[in-house]
Amino acid sequence: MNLDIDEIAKKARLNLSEEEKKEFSKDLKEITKAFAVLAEVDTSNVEKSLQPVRNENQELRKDKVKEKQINPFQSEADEHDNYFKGPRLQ
Amino acid sequence: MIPEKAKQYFTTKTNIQRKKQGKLQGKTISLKDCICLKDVETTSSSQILKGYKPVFNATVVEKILEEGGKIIGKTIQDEFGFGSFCTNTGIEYKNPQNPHDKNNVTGGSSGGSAGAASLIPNHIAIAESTGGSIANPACFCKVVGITPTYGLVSRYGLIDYANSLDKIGVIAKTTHDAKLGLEVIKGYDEKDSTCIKKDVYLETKQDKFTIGIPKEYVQNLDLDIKKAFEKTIKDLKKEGHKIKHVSLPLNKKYSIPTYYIIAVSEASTNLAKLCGLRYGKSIEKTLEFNEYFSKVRSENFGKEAKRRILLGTFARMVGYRDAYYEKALKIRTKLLQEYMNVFEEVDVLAHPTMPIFPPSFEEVDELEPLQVYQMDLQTVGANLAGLPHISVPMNTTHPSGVMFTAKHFDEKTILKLGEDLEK
Repeated sequence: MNLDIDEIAKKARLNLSEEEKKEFSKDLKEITKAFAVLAEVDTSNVEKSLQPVRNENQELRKDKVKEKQINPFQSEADEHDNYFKGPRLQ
Repeated sequence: MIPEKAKQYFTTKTNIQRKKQGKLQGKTISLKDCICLKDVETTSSSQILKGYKPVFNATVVEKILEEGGKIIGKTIQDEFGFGSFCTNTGIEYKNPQNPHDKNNVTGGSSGGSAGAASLIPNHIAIAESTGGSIANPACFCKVVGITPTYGLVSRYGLIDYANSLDKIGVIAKTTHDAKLGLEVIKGYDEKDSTCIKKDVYLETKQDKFTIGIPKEYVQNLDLDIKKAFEKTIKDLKKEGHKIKHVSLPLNKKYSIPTYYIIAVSEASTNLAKLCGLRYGKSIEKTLEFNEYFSKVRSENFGKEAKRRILLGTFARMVGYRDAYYEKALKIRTKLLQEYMNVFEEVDVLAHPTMPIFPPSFEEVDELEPLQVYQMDLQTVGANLAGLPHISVPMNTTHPSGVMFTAKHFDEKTILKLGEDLEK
């Protein structure tokens, strides 16, 4: 299996040094190799368990405002016209 | 309020009390740093969230304040919960020392919680477990740690590690205090859609139980831990409980890879929101957005956080997702079923919480990442299955614990056993 550390790091939005690329590449190879035992298990006709406990009575609550609006901005520099200020697109 | 020796377990000290009366009157409370406390720096012991002050209280915090608890601070942890020894605290944080031997680790990821509970009188530490992060440090610090059924306690206001695995629980000196803490924090919360609408435990009239010992979890133990566990079982037999030998072969072989694949997949998704925008650390917004996000993340995540983000990103990538992430979700069903089958024959499971005594910092340093992950064998099965479990100290020269695991919502059984052992 070809583990492309550059591709994974790009998707994860992490800039890695050459040393980090070497180290993490080795770690990921060892870990995924050990974890490949999962392929042995017969899971034909087995459903996925997204959670360990079934929530039988899950309800959606009504879309009604109950609390006062809180100020989500951590600082004035964060905010512009009631929007979060972000980095530029290009 | 905080003894000198216990100060190292705190990232922030506070003095917050809303009421003087209630179930928690007279108790001091600490919160693992991943639990949001309004206007108090909350970072999950990370650098990337440095400076983040939540604009609300977690539901568990509201419940604590309503019952007269006095919150004295936030406790240190492995960054975002990524660790089994509390040696992966974030950049510029200091790893805490075991309260019984400063050369040794506290265990993790709730190392600060366990340290605080060990040294501060009348103290209840609110902690969190994803793969064993309550049982492990409770065992290593010689205190009691209870991890409730997944969905019993609201996760609203908990900074996520893995949404299908995280549970808020309690670490305290005695089972009585752990039980008290759990009584206060549990309960349905409409703000958490994974919270089960059932805030009562399973009723049990029994006070004598059939205790199952899974053979796979009493192997490869330190000899003194094995002896202490055998004595604990003998004592339980004398009390009138029945002992039965059981087996969990699928969990032994597959719980670690299944747990880690699901945990890092969910974690890598959750940590994608930490990018220098809206919360915590930020830098001058002069870069193009992808460069900006990458720079903030690369400079502020610790090594283990980066490792897990990379692993989780990989496990979810097209071409690998079926073999890893999707496969793990299906195997989880089989592992759950294995527990359900065993609970047809027994009421509760018992085995040592950790196979070794608390290691030294040097010993931990020499472990490869995969070896560290394999240390979690005793605790990941119960955590993956969302089963309630408690670690209670055993009588050994160095800290060790016995772990009891019960069916979903059967906290009463494990609390009763914990109290029995303490007598």
